Amino acid sequence: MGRRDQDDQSPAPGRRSFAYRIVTLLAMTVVVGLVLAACGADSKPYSHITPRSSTTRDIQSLYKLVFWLALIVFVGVQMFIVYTALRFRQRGNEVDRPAQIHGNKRLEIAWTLIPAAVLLVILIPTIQTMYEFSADAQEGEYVVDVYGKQWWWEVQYPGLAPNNGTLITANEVRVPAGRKVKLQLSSNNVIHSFWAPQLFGKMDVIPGHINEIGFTPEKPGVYYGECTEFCGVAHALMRFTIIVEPQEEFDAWVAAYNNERPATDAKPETGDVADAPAAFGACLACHAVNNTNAVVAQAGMASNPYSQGAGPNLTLFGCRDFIGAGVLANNKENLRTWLRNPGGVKEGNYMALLIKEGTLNDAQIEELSDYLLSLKPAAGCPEDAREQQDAQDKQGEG
Amino acid sequence: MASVAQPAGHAGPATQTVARPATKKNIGFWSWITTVDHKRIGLLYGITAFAYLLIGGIEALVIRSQLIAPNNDLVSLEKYNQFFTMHGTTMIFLAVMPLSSAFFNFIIPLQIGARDVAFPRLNAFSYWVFFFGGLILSLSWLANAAPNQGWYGYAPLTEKGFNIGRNVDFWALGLQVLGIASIAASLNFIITILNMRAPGMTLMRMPLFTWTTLITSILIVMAFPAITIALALLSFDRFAGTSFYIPYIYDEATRQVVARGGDPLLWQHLFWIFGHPEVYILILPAFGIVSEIIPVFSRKPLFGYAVMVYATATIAFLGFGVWVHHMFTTGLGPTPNAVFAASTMLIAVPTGVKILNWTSTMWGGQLNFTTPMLFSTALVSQFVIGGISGVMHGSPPIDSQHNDSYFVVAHFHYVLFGGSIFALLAGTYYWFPKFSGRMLDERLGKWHFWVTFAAFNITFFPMHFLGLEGMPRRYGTYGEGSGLQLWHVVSSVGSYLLGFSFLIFMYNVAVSLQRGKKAGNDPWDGATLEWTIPSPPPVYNFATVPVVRHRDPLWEEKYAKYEGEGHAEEETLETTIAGIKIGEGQVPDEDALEQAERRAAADDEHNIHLPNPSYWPLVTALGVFLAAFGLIFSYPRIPIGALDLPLYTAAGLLVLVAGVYGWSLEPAS
Repeated sequence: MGRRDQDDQSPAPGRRSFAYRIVTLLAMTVVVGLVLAACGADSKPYSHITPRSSTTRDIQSLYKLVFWLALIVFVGVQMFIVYTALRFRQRGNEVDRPAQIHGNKRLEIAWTLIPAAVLLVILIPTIQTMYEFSADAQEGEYVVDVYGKQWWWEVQYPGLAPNNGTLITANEVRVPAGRKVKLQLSSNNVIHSFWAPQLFGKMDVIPGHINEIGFTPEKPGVYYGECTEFCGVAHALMRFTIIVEPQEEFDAWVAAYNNERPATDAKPETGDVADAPAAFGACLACHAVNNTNAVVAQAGMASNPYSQGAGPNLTLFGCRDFIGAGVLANNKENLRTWLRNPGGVKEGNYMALLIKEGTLNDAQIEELSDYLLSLKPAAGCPEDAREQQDAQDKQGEG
Repeated sequence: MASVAQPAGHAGPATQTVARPATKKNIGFWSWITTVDHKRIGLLYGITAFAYLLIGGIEALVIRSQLIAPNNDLVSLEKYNQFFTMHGTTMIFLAVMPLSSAFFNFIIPLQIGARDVAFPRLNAFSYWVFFFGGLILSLSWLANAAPNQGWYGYAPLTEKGFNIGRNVDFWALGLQVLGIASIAASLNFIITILNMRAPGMTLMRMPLFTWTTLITSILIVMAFPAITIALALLSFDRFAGTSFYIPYIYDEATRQVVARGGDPLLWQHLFWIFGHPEVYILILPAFGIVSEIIPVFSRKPLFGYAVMVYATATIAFLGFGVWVHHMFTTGLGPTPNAVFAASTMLIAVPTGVKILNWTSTMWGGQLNFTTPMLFSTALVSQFVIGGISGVMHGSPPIDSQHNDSYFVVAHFHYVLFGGSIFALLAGTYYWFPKFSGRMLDERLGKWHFWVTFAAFNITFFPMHFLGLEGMPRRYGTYGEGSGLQLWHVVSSVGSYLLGFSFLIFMYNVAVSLQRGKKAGNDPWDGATLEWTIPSPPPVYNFATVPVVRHRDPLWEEKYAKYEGEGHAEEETLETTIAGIKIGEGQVPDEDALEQAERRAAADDEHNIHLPNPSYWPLVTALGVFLAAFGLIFSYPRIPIGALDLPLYTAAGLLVLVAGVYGWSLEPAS
């Protein structure tokens, strides 16, 4: 490059290492940030760089490939820029103009072809992975229907209710470990997107379409998910959990949910609506409790798209972990807060059209929260056993 | 429109003979309202768009302040949704696009040696329509109905059943009006650049910024019809009860859900067929600006000029074939996703070529790190980050994790802030002397640059980590247990610093307008025609129309002996790189150029024809505004025959017709 090289044959080593240091520092920031993002996975339930299924591990290995290639490109290009900027700074003693180079055909062809080759390295495994995922979804044997609502999730298990009926629950997707699961996603209102970062990538939930996710849950546990397509006021408060449990626990939950009991038992354990507080009558306009006479509310595609008259199914509510699609932990204190003013906890939600601050008096709130928490099997919730198992696992890992 | 009467290459039918235009004082409020001078229109665009940049910035600060703590309730979720929708809409349509327009308007006629654009009154019309489009969007705040559905307005959330207020109407009609402004302006610039270049300026001698303006204008003309249609269908759905995007409705009478045959994905395809070229509409002018600045401050011609031109055209062309990468998670299936993944990755190739060619321009140069050069170098470096993350979510499986997360937010802010905004700031420092006759202060400029650079990275780099940790976009709140607060705090602090950096800039502009160093014609040792004329330029720009014999005409004049070097190489590259002979046949022979020179010299500056000021563009634009306003505020209504029209729309249509007639009947002098 002509004159410059003759003047200044080798740049001062101090400056070269300065450039090197700047870029190294940048690259290290990236890596340290990633490590920070990855560590403490337990406290970051939505982190997708801590995969917990074969699907997300595949994505992660693809991401790692791209990440390391990207890091090499990043460091290389930044070093080129910083080095050029430092080496060819004007010193103020130039008398001549630098060599007027207009281009270099060979170099330009090279840096057209090399990136194209690098991209091919990414593209091929990308396409392979995509077709694998698609096949996974086709092979899914355990079908769960998920409906996006404003702003909660309805979960349906075709064939799991008595008489080959559909078991309906909300905001918790329970799946048996080790089975190939196929989630069928649909909506009759606005678009949502279903994402449990540690188990599978996003899939949009689009009115008029049925999208599928195939995945195989492995380790029992609770995994967190959220809506990732903007769906209106409370989009940020539309969370869910995926509860993976061993087959027998899952079966126990299904049985409890269907409230199987001796035919002679006159009184259902989940609480008959006849036993419910009078105020619960208002809830029945939108909510259902299975195996009671309280099944008026609409469900699935048949429900009102404008989210009126269709709220989450409340069967076994006492066993749920959260209130309001992951907004509050399910306990008596929070339930009181919710019933006092649901709109204050979760802005825009449709329950707040009916229940405002002062609609229910303290006595009614007390009765209702007691009743709702009593909606569980007499023998206790099936997951109590799982929680004990979890605690043991944690001790083991710790 | 009246403009059909104007033969391209002339200033327009309404001309006057100016005795000595330079001495004619043309100042005061009304002279700005009725101006058709491309330089004044450029400044009007610049000032208006900068005001919107500040508004969009304040909206961003509200967003960052909300997210500084989990479960924060600084603003309600509904207000937060309005803030992020308006932040995106404002920054894209009211700040970055019109800021690019400001540079197109002011610089392009100067760079090609023209006295104005092809259709000066159409140019004024474009500005006023833009102004009113911005006004419609801004009025939404006053009506307490700011758009709340996201800048991309996915149906059916925008449909009446889910969004009963006027919010979406403000947005849809505001964008329609802005689209008219963009298409009118783009046609004007395509025609100006193709027809009004100085003698001897072949296409392959055009400055790169002129090239990117031409290509951006073509992109706008081709991309905007898609969103025009999308928004029209949406407005039909909202106003006329059609169901283009609605698959189901609820029949109150039967309490049944009824299928209506619409499809939300129709909106997404139409929107992104516009939306992805829009990304290049935002970034290509930026590429043009740094392609001007880097050679000047390296004292070397642009490395690989021809390849840079082809890369720009390739990016624009491929930009129409990648829209599905915004829809990888909509379940289109592996085959469409694979095709669009490939085209998306392909677009990284010409972009990478640009990065390396800019750096090679610097290689071997004598780099003078003035403020415009600092911002330009920063663009080259920061755009790489946005480009790399773009390739990452170009892979659909990876995108299924990144899509709609803060990783994507980080990505496009590296592209739009680290790309577009850095270049627009660079261009402002570079051309400010030409706008105002004074230099911006360099010491303040360097403070401005380093604070911006640091603050930009503190704000946006942590968003990558937030994305990896699962923070979705368009969330006005996040839970305490999500472990996300650390990087949100860092990012918010960075955003306050970024806000502060703009105060430094505004202070610099205010001080420099008063006390800045006088610029003279050519303060930077520039290479292109705009530096051959006084700063600020006289109304007529060029007293004598220049004749161009070289790609860097001013350098050829100043440094003829150096320009000889490597010239042959340039020509060979230019003519053979695409395998076909380009350029050769188009270079006018020397005789023709000498004739042109004689003609220009004879064309004495007493005889310069300039268009008269006109208020008809403003009247016509006002008609457009009123017509759109009436669709949003549809009462009172007036019955006209069988029609039942909103009053404002009827009035607007009358004003529009009056404006067009007044425009076309305007006397010639």
